[in-house]
Parts: sequence; structure tokens; C-alpha cells
Amino acid sequence: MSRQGDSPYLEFRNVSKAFGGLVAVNNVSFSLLKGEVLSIIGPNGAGKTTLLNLITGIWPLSKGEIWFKGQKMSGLPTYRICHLGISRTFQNLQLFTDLSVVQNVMVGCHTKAHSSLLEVMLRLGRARREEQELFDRAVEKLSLFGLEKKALAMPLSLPLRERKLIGVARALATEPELLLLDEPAAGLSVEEVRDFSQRILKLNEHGMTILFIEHRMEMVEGISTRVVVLNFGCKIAEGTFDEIQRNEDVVAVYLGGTQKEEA
Amino acid sequence: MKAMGNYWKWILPGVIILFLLLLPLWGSLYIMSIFIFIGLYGMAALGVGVLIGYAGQVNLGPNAFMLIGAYTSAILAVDYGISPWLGTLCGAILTGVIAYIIGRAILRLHGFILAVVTACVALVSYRLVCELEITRGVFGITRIPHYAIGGFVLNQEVHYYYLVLVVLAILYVVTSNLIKSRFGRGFMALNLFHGGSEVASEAVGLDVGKLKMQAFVVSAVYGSIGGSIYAHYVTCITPQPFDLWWGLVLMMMATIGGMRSVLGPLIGSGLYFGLKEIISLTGAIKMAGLETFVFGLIFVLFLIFMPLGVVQLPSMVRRRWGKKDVGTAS
Repeated sequence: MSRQGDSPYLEFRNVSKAFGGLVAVNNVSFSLLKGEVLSIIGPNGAGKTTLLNLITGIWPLSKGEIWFKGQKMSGLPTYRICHLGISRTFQNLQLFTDLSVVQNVMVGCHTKAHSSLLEVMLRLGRARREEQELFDRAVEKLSLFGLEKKALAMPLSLPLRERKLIGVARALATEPELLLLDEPAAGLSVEEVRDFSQRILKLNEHGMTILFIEHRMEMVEGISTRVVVLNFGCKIAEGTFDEIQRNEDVVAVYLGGTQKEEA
Repeated sequence: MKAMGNYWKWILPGVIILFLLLLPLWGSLYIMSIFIFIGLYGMAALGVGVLIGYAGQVNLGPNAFMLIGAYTSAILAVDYGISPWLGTLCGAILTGVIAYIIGRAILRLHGFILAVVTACVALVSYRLVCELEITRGVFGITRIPHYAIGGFVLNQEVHYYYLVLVVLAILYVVTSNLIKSRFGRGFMALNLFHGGSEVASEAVGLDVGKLKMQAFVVSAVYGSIGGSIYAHYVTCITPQPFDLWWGLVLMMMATIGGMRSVLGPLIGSGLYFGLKEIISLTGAIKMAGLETFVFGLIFVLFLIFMPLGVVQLPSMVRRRWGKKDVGTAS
């Protein structure tokens, strides 16, 4: 899939979010182009996860607007935003621990079936057919990550690396156009991060636009088209990884320096 | 070896089904009436299982649904001469609509607040039935007609026994289908008590409010059907068998039997009525009020040793004495 010119795909317009007196995100604007891999970095407490929660409508914005595909998106409920084509993973995964791996992914397919409650309860033809379709679809998503053999396992019995991939598979089950990842590499070994990065790049090659939050620089460096740097809720830099690396403000934030006393 | 295992798996259910089918051959009217009550309250308990066990939404007043079903069907039959079958259907529809309206208002609430509000709803509906003209207040409605098929009137214990058995079997199958479907998975995904997450559910596109509503309506309709059949079976109803105490009993049944299974609430209903009859038959307890105490005690013990209900028993036995089985997670 080719990029659609340079019109922004996801756009933050002067977005702010305050929790009481604490301003978690302060007047942030940036945009994301279709087909990009954008990473958001910043020290702890910089407002990165808040940013994701604002995109997915988990928290309402205090100020500003978020636009997606030329449509104002902020204010919609979370599930509607998902239906627009945005799906995400969570830093703490939030897998459904009482459901098996394939069922977790099947929950993500929920809206791909249309039979009504009554049809399902009476197990009419369409309901039965759709149930099989959901199962096949979920296994297909799992097989993207080589997890189809673990389909019937319970998520908590699997190692962290696989649980993270299940989270991604569940997000992909909603057939998103934009995938949001919240610290996908946290807790993984160096080889596992490399493997994970490869899989993300592959998704991107197949046309998925990706926005992710990360602490692990090896992953940020490896796959991002562009990087946005946040500190104390404000955007302090934006550009390619090389540009960011040479930015004095960013270096100061990461290596400690003039801004230290503000903490 | 494996075929053998599958073969054995069918023996116990087969024996139970055969036992239930043939029970009227030797069972007295008394035994049959106990089974009828087990079935009627079992229907409502099944609804409680779907709502609380699977969807994780607390409803402290499931008795209200039985009450609405019973009174709708009774009033339609006595005052308007409407067929009890149609009345039962009307009761189910009305209860579903009421559950929908109430649900829209309260299902946004969480945990404790939801529990308190549902209890209030049950209290209010009970109070209304006691006060209103159309429901005849505390004296209740008498001479409620029986069900009839053509000219054949279902006026004997054995008729109701089979009616309840058939309805229960239908509800059992329908509920199993529901739980194994995307809706059932949706319920479990948003159940905060069992590893679910509302935020994650919404993030992958589930309309959480709508799912909760669907569980609430299903649960309401089950209770209503139980209530309607109850009314036509006993032919006179007062508000008393639908008060808040019975709401708690319904939840007790579902919990004891195992709310996260379709069979559990029915087993729980059986345990409750079985225990109740044993206590009153043996005359073991003569002091008034002590019966409730004994009930409470026994149920607390059950929950301490089997927190997931009696349905947990086979897997407990297997884990303790049986062969090493990896697939006991469910």
C-alpha cells in the first residue's frame, strides 16, 4: 500500500489533558501519515500512555481535537473508535485470563459477526457458520505469530513474549488500519526485541500504520519512520531517529542536565 | 482408552436424564412438587448465573423478574381471560422490556453501587405489588387458570413436572449455545471478577454497555418464565414468594451450584430445596429461625471448600486422586 500523499492520517490538534491540577499532556500537536511507523518516546511520566488513552477515547480530552482520516474523532466512545479502524495493545497486556488464547483473539473478532442474540441462542445456520468463521479468523491471526499451536492454552501459562504477541493478535483481529502499541518491548530480552521488531516491520510492509510508545531505544531505532519526544506532557522534538539523537533538548532530557531541577 | 473415556463421560448425564424422565413412575406427588419448585427457581437461578457468573454484573434483586412474570401472566389470565401460554409470553416480553429500560439507566454503574440499586429496584417492585389495586395487594390473586393444550388441561403434578422439565431442557440448551457464542465470550471478557477488563473489551470494539444489557435482559426473561409457570402451577399467588429474601436465595443457589457453568445454578436450586425438605421432614430443627441459621452455615462451608460451586467437585476429585490431567483449567 502506498502513502496517500502527505495529508495527515491521524492528527493531534493542540491536545491537552489535565487530571485535576496535573497537566499530563500539554498542548501537543503532531500528525501521522498513512504507512508510517511513528514512535513516541520520553522519560517516565512524560504523558505517553495518556496520549494513547486519549486516542482510544478511554479518557476525554481537556482541550483540543484529534482527527482521523479527515474526521473529528475525539469524543467518540472507545468501541466506536475501534470500529473506525484503530486498535491497541496495553502495557500490562490486559488479556482476558479466564479465556483461552484463541478465545481472547475471537473477542477481537466480535464485531465481524452479525447474527443476533436470538439466532445465536437457537444456534441457527448463520450463527453456527459465523462462529466457525470467527474461530478460523482468530487462528489465522495467531498463525501470523506462529502461535496457532497455543490456541487452546490459557494465556497465563505462556511466557511473556507470547502473551505480548497474543495482545497484538487480539488487536489485529479487529482488522485495524492503525495499530497502537503501548511499550511492546518492555520486559523482553534483546533477541526477543529484535524478533518483535521484525514482526512489526512486516505488518507495516503489509500496509499497517503503526504508532508505538517505547523505552527501548534499540526498538525505536530499528523500526520508526519518525519519532516524537515528550517531556512533562509537552512535545520537545519531532523528526527521524538521527535528528532526534542530535537534538540538544532530547539529549538533556535523557542524560540529565538543565531540566533536572524541574522534577 | 480415549474412546472409553468419552463413553464414560456420557454415562452420568444419561443416568440423570433417565432418572428425571422416569421419576413420575414411582415418585409421589410430594416428590414431584419438590422437583417442580427446583425447576422453577432453577430457571431464575440460571438467569442469575448468566448475569453475575458470566457477565459479572451484580443484581441483588433477581426475584423482581419472577414477580413481574408471575403477576403479568396471572392478571392477564384472570382479568382478561388470555391464554396462560400467551400470558407467559407477554410476561417474558414485558419483563424483557422493563429490564431493558432499567438496565439502560443503571448498568453504567459499577460493583457495589449497581448491587444497591438493583436491590432497591426489587424492593420497589415488591412494594408496588403489595399496594396496587390491580395486583390485589398482600392477599394476592387466586383462581389462576392452568395451562391447557386444546381441551386438555394441565392440572396435575405430573403434567407440570414434564412441562418444567421440557422448559428447563430448552433453557439449558439455549444458554449453553449463548455461552459458547461470541456473546458469551463478550460477557466473560468484561467480567471484572474473572480476569476480564472493560477497558480492553472496549478497545477491541465491544460495545460493553450493550453486552451488559443483553445479559440483563436474558436473565430477566428466564426469571419471568419461571415466575409465570409458578403462578399457573400453584394457581394463587401472593407477593411473599417473590420478596427480597428469595432474591438472595436465587443468588445463593447460583453461587453454591457454580455460577460459571450452565448446570451449576440448577444443581444449586436442587441442593436448596433438597436441604430444606430434609430439615423440615426429619423435624431435626424445631426452633423457629434456626432453619435459616443452619442453611447459612451449610452454605458458608460449601463456599469455603468449593468457592466455584459444586460443579467444581469433579475437577477437584481428579486433581486430588485421579491421573495427571493437564486440561483441568476450565
